[in-house]
Amino acid sequence: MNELDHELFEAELRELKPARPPAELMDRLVAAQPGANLRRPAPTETWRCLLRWLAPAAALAVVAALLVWWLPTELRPHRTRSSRAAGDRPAGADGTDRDRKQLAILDTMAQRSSAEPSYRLFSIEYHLSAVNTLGAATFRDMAGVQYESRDSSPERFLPSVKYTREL
Amino acid sequence: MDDPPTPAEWRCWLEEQAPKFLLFARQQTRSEADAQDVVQEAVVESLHRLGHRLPPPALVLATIRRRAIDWARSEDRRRGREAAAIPPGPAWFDTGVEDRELAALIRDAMGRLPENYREVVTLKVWGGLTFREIAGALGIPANTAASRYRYGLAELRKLTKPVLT
Repeated sequence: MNELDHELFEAELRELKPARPPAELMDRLVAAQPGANLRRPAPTETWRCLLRWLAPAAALAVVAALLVWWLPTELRPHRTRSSRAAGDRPAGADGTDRDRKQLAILDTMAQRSSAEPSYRLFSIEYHLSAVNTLGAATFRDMAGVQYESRDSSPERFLPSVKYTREL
Repeated sequence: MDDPPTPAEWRCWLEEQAPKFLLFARQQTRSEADAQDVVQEAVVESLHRLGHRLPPPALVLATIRRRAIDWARSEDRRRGREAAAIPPGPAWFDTGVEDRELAALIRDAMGRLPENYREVVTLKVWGGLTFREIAGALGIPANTAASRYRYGLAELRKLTKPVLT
């Protein structure tokens, strides 16, 4: 059987079409339609279906955004401390701080003032009178020791200026 | 297509594919009733496997074969299968009056072909599958499918030579 015979014979066989199944079987197959009991959703149903998971997803996103906003606030004490360590001394809530920069400026002004030349600014002290607590968090380390971290900022100072009389 | 088909799409798909499925099932089972049940089960199973999307014909044909083997394994059906010859039954092909003799001849010749040739010839000629798809459906290498097809066609030609070219 050469190639041509092969193809001719094949073509002849293809001329015969498989018989259509009996109507009874076709009815059974038609009844087995995929998702027949889950009819195709109407557009409104599609939206409702979308909203069913969109609403919780949106709520979750809001919670996640709040967490993202809140977490850095909680972590701020560490950052603030490290940044302060590099710069000026922090204002303690329990003590008196001397603002050296401010002192230098006022000192210069005092020297320039012609009204009171015999007085020289000796010092200026700021007494911290109010502290604003920004946030507080309680931590527990691996050993189970619990400690509290507070982030606060000075809110009000009461300056106390001292002069010395120049001779 | 990710959605389940519409009723019209489903009917159209069945009109096109069901004749191929039933032809193959008739060769794989011992009775017309078994063939029809196997087709229905295979179609439903294939649909479920694909999440209610229209399955490729190769998948349904492979499922028909597996289902037919399962059916034949049951004690009462195995006896019938071992009788080998395909029993008389409904016509396998849609024919006009002039082709009826030819269709009967082909049916008879197909029934006399060894089963491994017959299934490859059926899947290739009337199932429209490629050798790769046939190989997947029957669990054989594609080269084996191709050689079985050539032998099967040659054998079929011999059996029908007085009538066909």
